[in-house]
Amino acid sequence: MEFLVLNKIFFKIAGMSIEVQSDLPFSNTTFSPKFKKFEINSPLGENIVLRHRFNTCRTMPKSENRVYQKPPWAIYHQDSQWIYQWIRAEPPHESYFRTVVTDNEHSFLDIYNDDKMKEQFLKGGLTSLTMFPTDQILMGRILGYKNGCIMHSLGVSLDKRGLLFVGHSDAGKSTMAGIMKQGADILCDDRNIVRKSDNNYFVSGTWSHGDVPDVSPETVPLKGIFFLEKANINRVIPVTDKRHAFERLLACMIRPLETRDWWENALDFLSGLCRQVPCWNLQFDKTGQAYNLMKGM
Amino acid sequence: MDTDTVYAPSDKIISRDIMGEIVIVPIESGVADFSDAMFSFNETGAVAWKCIEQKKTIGQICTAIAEEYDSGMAQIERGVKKLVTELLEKGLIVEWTS
Repeated sequence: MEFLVLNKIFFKIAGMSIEVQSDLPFSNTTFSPKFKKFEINSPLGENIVLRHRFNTCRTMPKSENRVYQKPPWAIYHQDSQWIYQWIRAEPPHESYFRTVVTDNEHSFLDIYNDDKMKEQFLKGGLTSLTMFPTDQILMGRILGYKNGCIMHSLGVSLDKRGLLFVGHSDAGKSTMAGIMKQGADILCDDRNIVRKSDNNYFVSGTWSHGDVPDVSPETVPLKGIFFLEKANINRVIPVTDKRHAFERLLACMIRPLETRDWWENALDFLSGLCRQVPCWNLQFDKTGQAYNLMKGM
Repeated sequence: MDTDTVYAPSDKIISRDIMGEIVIVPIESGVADFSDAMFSFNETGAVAWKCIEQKKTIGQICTAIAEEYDSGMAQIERGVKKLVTELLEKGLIVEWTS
């Protein structure tokens, strides 16, 4: 196996970089090929560090500082740090497998992995940068502190305008992705990141795609949110009831490990989002004419 | 229900003003099934909720509503007690003891 002599790799997502560091060397095959499009050579202005450590965490949480426990996770907040423990599903929960220690702002995360994870790291083909079952667990938390969130959605860039099509499974995100591919770049057909920066909202693709493997690390200004509705016609109807928009967005927001402070950040973010970005109900059929509707808006 | 009793929002909910409408979101399971439940109020209910946030007694809530709406005190008191009972049943408020 050919090893690169590197102990850090950079990835671009949501306008910031993720610097993945490791005690062990990376190889060309440490991470799944799906990350290749997101790989960059150097950090961006805003940089998040994920450091994989393969030893025992010495930071011990105190039970009185526990703010969340829902197996397999327990979260502690103490001494300006957050401590995440992956705990046993069955009581007693005291035994834990993995620990993440991060600063208050979730900008520098130490991920302590056990021997089993060390084997997986060396074997390669990792499907998440965090080495958790999905990156959205920690990314959802990180974004809560960075004016952002992950939406269950299809994101596209149409003439550099970001459009977000929101809906759960079977809402038609993949169908709509097929329709929009006529002339738009697909950011991601299942999970997209929305962030606020300088009073504007932006949408970015992620590597967590659904049926459509086309993904893009690009970030574009978010110009409209569309709630998907399969129908026999193609039309857009403005959503004037902002509370309704808020409720639907909330239902499609990825909610990882919901501590109270995370909720407060997320609700403030969403209420600003639906106040500032126009929301529409999009009724569409399979003829593809919905693309012309979007193009003409 | 005693008119001197004070209630306060549960620590398992967050309330937000969304475009002038108060919305309550349960943030822990056991309060309400989040996927089905997000609560909001009519105008009178919103006045009552603001009073609950300020930890006012049932009697003070009734007075606050009577100052803004032209209804009999007995009718207001019935309405407030009904609202408080519903909020208690849903786990959105708790009895407050200072």
